[in-house]
Amino acid sequence: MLTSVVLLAFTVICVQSQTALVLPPLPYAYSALEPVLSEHLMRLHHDKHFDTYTKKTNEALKTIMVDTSANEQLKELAKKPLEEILHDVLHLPEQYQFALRHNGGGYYNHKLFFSMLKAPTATAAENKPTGALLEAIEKSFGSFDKFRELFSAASVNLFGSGWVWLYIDAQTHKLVLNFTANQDNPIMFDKNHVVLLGIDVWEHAYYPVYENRRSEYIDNFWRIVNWPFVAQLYTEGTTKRADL
Amino acid sequence: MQTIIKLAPRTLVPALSRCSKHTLPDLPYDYNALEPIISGEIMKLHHQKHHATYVNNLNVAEEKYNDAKAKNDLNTMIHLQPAIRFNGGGHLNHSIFWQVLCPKEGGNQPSGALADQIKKDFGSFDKMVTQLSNASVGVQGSGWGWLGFNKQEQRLQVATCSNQDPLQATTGLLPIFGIDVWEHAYYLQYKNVRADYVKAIFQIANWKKADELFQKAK
Repeated sequence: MLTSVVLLAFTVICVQSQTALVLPPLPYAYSALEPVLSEHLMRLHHDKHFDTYTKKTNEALKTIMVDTSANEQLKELAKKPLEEILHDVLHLPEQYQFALRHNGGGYYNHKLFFSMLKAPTATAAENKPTGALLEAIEKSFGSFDKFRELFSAASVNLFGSGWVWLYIDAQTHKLVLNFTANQDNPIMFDKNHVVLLGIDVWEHAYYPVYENRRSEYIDNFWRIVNWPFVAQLYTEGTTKRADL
Repeated sequence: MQTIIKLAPRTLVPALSRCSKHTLPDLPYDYNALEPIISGEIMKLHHQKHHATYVNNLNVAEEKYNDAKAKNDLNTMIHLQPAIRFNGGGHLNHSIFWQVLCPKEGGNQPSGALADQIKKDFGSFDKMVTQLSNASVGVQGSGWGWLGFNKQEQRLQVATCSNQDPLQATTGLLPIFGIDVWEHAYYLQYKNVRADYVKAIFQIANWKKADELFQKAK
């Protein structure tokens, strides 16, 4: 009897350590993005929203592990890195999909998003990418300014909650702009999409500073884009995929 | 994931149209009247900015739609439909919302025909509140929680809609009481704790108005 209890405890601990996501700290101080995004907003966004997605993703994964009606294939998937789980999330049975898609997507999106930001430049115009990434943007959109215009328009016009993304399309290998609703991410639709840049246009991402003025948030977003990090994603993405 | 086929202009600029059909209704109370449940700051932004923008953008979209219709430009008409759905829905939803809220009253519960119907369809008022609350808190992203009336089956039902999809057009249910769970409806006061906002809003529910809507729906 004791052996089975110990074995069960051991299994639970192993399951927890395999699946437990951790809330990563911001790569900068909470006040680092002032005045574009206030410390107050960053504390809420990171310590409340991102934290909730972390906890709820862990809960969702744990639920799968202890669910006796969940098959082995599903339990194996639940042990994989979150990114791999998200590749298949749209194919999951309905009762598991909602929580994982929303919270797992939320975790993944926010982890990426906060890394894509840095201390603001004085103006949007002076914050630009360089090198291969800039060339790729110019090739796909005509000019960097045109890209920024299109990205901004898509962000302003997104109805409801969601994200706007710049990514390398898995099929065409071109740089594309697209949006997702709620906490969806392009990798849920094709695991080989290489996400480069995203903007959170959920109201919580800007309301404490900009209230309803989403376009003002977007105008200022360009001051805080961490182009070196985005360029890194581009380099990694194009190197991994030799055919890009 | 929907591909952006044609991007709309940078903002739908609220233009004054000669044939402006829709207007922003006044609130039936002062901006501060729903304190402490919903702050005056939120009510002002919600009414003067968010609802007003839906009204303006609806008028712009409708005018463009009418122009396109006059020219038999079906492509443009179809292209404009999401904007009409979103802004029209926003206008409908918020117009109802202001009506079904009222300054806080002690012991606020429905009475008469609505109370009887709630008891019949949910077992008790508290059970209905639990169901509507859970549904509203559970909306992913932006949307609304509703108590609606199913005219065919002559019963009340809890439903949710995403974004600004209006209840009747989307589900066929007639709206009796609704809760806006877009973040703009509560964020400045309740931050990320939507559940606290939803719990509190029942203290300012205008059950008299809801009963009126119910009588009309039947």
